[in-house]
Amino acid sequence: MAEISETGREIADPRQHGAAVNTRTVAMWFIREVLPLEPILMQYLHHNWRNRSDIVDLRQEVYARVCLSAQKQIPDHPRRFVLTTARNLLINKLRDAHVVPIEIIADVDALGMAMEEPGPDQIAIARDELRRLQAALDQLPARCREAMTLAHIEGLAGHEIAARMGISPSMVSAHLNKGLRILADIMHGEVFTAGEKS
Amino acid sequence: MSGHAPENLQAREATQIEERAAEWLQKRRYWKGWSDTDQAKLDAWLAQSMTHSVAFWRLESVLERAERLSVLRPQHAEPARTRRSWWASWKLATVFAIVAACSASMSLLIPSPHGQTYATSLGGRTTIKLTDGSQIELNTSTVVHADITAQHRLVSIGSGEAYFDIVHDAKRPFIVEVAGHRITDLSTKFVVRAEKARVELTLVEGRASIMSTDANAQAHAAILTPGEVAIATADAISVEQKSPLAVREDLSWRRGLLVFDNAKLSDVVAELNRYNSEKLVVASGDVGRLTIDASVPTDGVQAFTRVVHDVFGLHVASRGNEMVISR
Repeated sequence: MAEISETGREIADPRQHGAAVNTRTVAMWFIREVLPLEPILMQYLHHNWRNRSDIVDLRQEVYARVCLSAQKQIPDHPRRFVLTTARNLLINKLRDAHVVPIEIIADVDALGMAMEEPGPDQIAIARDELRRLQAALDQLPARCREAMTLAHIEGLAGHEIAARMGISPSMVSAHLNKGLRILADIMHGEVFTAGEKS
Repeated sequence: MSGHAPENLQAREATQIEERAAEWLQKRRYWKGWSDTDQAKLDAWLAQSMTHSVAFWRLESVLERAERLSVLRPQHAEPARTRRSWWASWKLATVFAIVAACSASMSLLIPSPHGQTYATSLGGRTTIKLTDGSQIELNTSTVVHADITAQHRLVSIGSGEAYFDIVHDAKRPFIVEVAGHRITDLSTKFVVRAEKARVELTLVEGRASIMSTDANAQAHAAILTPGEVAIATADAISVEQKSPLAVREDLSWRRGLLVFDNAKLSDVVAELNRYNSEKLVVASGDVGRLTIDASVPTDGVQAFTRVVHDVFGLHVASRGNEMVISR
């Protein structure tokens, strides 16, 4: 793993020191290469971290570190890089908490190797996308689903949705806000259990 | 934020950030009146911390994907009846296009009850500016019909090749119909090439979906991201990824140039023939299989045959309206 320089300690924001890679490129790379790894990352975090309520923070922290590194140089092996970053973060957390890890955190190298294989057929994903989106919509709480359906399938704007649903614009905002966040969890592959989002 | 110390995140901070990110996104996407000031505030918030940026990008990418749901929107008033009458006007348009080929190499504009038909002749190229701000660049021998109203945006390609630069409008998806397929843009630049039983869609920017509309064929669909090329036939759509360079080369016709990279001579000839009345013919298969890197003006038949002769030592002979290339 010599090609990976992630140390888990270099977290100063390089935007202060002139980033080598522009933000748009980092964003595109993040969306294209990193976000599809979310199910793997979440599985890794769930396996290696006992406190469930930390998981969302950990995930975001991993993403932030990965993107800060990508501003200096886009990593060659995103899967390995993401998992190595996650492992280093967990080790640091354990160290900070003065907890001695009894069992070694899952071997990222082994995980990384297996995961550098090509993912599921990209074409199949493209064809399934619409079906997945529909299925994800179906999983939303009723009012959220109604607001999201009016917005995305009917193509209505916020105030039109409010009129149609007979609720205030701020309620529409709340439904759309929540709907979007749940949709993100589902579409990025995390299994959503009802009531998790508040 | 020099004091930004990710390890010391308070519990639930990520959730708060995500809520804030969703707040920005839904304000921008679903409500009217998003202003430059709003955008500046959002930019400032994003610049504050990478944790803000990643949370925003993560939700934004899903919102973008959700735009694909608009293909499920009921299409108002597009019954088969109007479409058939469309096709009748189509045939007329094609005839006009052929007539036009004999005159100037300019675009032709035929008003019809539903929108307007535009056509280019052999070797022609033109840019159409639509009323919604979108642009279509027509390549050689191309016929398109555009029906843009306050309610819908519908373009149909009868034949040829066109480059689309679409101004996104969530309420009026831009729909392109071509040879039994429907392409729906989701804020996009793309190029469509229609051949006999085959449609090629190359996505340059944004996202677009393509789905079959032929009731007899098995339904199929694909959603493309930049650099992806969909090849759609009556019963299947396959998707492949092209390098940015290859995509640029494919679009070089917009500059009146054809760029070939390690291409077979037979393919180069076929491509040049799309633009010129003076047709090139390859005498034998082994000549056709010669590979060549070339950059040729679309009307550069003469220049090309000179190069073929001088560099490859091939013979070029006139035969009626054809130029035959042989060893």
